[in-house]
Amino acid sequence: MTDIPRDVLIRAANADIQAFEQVYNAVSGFVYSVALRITNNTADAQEVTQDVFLKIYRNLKNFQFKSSFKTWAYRIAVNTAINKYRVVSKEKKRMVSYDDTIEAGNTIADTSTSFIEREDAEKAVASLLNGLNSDQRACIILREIEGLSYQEISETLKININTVRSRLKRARLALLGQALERGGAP
Amino acid sequence: MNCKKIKDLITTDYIDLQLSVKLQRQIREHLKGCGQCRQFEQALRQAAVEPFKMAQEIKPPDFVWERIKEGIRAEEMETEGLFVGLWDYVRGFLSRRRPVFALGTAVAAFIAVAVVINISLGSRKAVNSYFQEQRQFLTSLSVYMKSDPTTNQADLGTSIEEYFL
Repeated sequence: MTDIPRDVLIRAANADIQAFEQVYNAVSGFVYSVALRITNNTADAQEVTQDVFLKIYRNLKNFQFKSSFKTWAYRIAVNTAINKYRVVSKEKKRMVSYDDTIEAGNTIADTSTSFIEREDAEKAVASLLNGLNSDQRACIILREIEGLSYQEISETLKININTVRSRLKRARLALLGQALERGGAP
Repeated sequence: MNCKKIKDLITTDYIDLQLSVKLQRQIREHLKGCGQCRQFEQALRQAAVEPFKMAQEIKPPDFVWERIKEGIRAEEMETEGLFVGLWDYVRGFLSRRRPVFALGTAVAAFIAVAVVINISLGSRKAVNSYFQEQRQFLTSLSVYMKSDPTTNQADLGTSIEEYFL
């Protein structure tokens, strides 16, 4: 996530839509990626992204700069995505799979590897995350994809640092179990 | 440290470089000599760490920002509409319900006057009765002082007093 200057955040908090667009441009990639990887559904991820930015816009004036904006935005995004995933799972209204999303051709930021390789990698990531529950999924995304430390994950999800450890441990053992079943790992 | 403890640490803190340098080195030394733990570490990295290194940030479609802007505009209009509606209601209430306000004011004024009168009447009664008592006492004293001492003998009271006098 790109760092956003404090004055831009202050202007956005004062309903400056151009400043808010700067905030959107800096954060939307992360928010949408997390939403998509947690909900595993394009329409839900778009809805979550929309909800997250409306929440940020509404509450930015109350943001005290005591914690980092990054942690605050991570928390809103992850919680909104998990809530959406839980609601949708209960209602069993899944419409489009994450695999279809990749086929639909979303914009992927990095251009260093070929499209096919990226596509395969994204499919593999989606498939791996699919085997985890939403809490484990959030921890793995924040750790492996976003590169957050245990402390940052703990602050973002508002959970004990040992809970972060145990969720990561269970998630990784589940991923290892999947790989052994497929015969892809020794 | 036994292999179970080593595997526990490999699954989280060792892979994520969250251990102290000393402990990290200790596990590396163990891995050099323990094939089973080394195999576990390699399998774990391959299954649960490496695949995510290829993951990229995915940008949302452009229309998402348009929808967000629409959402912001709709919320602002709703808020403005709420204030306008509230102001209209208050204005309407003030213009239509004047007789109610007038009646209310009259009733309040009447109650206030009644309370004030009641208080003043009550205190005046007490003062009047006090003056009445004082007046009677002074009258009785003056009558006593002006009267003839012989006629007052009957007023001396008891037979003992009469004896001494």
